[in-house]
Amino acid sequence: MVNDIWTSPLFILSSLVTLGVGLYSFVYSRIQMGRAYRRSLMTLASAVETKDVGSVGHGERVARYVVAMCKSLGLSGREARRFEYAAFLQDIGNVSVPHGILNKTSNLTQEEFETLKQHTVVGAEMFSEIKFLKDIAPIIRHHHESWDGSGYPDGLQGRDIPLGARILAVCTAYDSMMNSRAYRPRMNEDEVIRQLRADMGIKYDPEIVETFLRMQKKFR
Amino acid sequence: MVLFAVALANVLHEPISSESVLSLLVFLVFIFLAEIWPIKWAGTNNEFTMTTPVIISTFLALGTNQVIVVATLSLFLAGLWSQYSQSCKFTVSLACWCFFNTSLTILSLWPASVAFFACGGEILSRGGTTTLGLAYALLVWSAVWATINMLLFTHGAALAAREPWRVVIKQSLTWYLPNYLVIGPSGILFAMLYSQYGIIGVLLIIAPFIVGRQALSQHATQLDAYRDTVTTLGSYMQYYHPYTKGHLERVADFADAIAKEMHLPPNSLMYIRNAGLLHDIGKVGVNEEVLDKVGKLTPEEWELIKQHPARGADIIAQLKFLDPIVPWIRGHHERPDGRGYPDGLNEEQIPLESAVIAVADAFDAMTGGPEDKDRRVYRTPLTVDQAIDQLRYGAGTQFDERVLKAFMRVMARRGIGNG
Repeated sequence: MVNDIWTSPLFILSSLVTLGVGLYSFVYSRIQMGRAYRRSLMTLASAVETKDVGSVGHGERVARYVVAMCKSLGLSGREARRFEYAAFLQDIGNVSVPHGILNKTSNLTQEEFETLKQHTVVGAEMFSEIKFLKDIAPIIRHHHESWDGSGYPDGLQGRDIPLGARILAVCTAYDSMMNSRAYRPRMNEDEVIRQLRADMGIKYDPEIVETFLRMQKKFR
Repeated sequence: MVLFAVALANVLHEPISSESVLSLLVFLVFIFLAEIWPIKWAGTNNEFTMTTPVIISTFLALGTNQVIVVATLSLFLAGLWSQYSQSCKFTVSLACWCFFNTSLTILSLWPASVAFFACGGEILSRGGTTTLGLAYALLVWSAVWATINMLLFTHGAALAAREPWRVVIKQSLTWYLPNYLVIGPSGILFAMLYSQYGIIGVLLIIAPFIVGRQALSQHATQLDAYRDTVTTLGSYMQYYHPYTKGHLERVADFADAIAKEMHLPPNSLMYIRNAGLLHDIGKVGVNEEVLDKVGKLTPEEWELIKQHPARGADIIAQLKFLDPIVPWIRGHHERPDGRGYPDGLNEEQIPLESAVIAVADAFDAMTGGPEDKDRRVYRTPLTVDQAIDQLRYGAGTQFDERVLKAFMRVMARRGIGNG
């Protein structure tokens, strides 16, 4: 009699229903909510972007380049997601930089530049206190470091700079040169590529630039 | 307790077989697990347990005396367990308290069973069949059980939370009733499996239920985590000034306390802290030279400032986990006399939650918090009593009177100001 249970419609139906509810909510929470979460973070980031007139949409585009880069560098999906989040959240630290400095058309004074540099530190501090975003804090902190050690805030050099930050630096530079800024007009593509090549090994990780230029045509 | 003893005696009086002891034990574990593993429904402040359907199935499968014995024991153990996991110690008074709690269960189980048999219901293992008559009797059983339970429970809850009866009963009705209707029938399912396949049937069905429960809980936890992360990031983004951090947290605290004092619905209570933390997010990205200007604002600058509640609402409208607070944020600078901004709403149109945030925000902005660094550059802070006078002065025009009354009660209870 007990053996009958496996074929009992009552048993099969109830098991399927409960498992179905469970599976649905699991998949739903993974996919649907994950998407909503990503969109929410993006919204918050874009609220900060409105502060700097030139940077609207910047984070979202850079995030797209970063994802493509991660794929061609063969990084894991988990790593790619981490780098992507860092990409669109990179300049949230700008909340601490006064409006006047972000939109200044002439050269910044030494003091103003120091304030601007703080956005990496402020951003990293913010994220290091948020449980689910802790792991992007180092990328945010170091995304303005240079390969030769002349960047800020810590003057890290070469491979001491986290990989995510090295990728982000190249993608960010490309996108910001391709668009106009308060202090300069937009550049054309050839100029941008020439500039990136010129800064290989000085500002940027040469390997990353090579990879980027190989797939750059897709980004236009 | 007398009932428990009578029931126990009756159970022991019946012939004992290993099969019946085994089924008693299985149902005991079953109720215990159902009670200690509540299921959280994602996006709400409510939890529910599978205890009711499991007790129904125990009753249908085993009978009145058995269900009283099993339910009492397992609920008692579950009560002890949850107390223990909270405080990590056992005391005699704790055990007594748990026993008192569980004895309430018997008080409702016994009349429910009497009503069940009076309506012609029959226990499944004694030849009862699943027919309309049984469904009807079960309905009566659940109705009696739920009513008595709710009366006892809400009395306890009302005592514990110092809330009026009316409110607690209304909350239980809107939440528990649909719940009973949806998950109650699964109790019949368990009992049918038991009567057809014996104890194995029940054991086998537990597995998918645990998987389902696990997934639902995971879903709820995930949602909470996402919402918290988004809120935290949003609140950090407003820290362009050192004083903002303390301010937002205090506003959230005050708003939470006032909302509880006013017995706002559970979902409002769940989101009010988020709203307190995010109320000024519309100021992110606005030129801080305007926000902090000491002198008089030009009309354009004032226009810019007046946009911040709407801007904030627009931002939050895109944050999927915080939908309910969008109108609250938009309305937090509205006034009951209709002279607020951005929409110039009147008293009835302003969400109560907005009015709560408005009072909390105004009070904290005037007093400026306990430390010097929290104080605003353009204003000398007032003392608590001065600030309360200011709020009173604006009662009915700038601030909602109901909210102000609740706020005064909160302040009096905290012993701040002369109330």
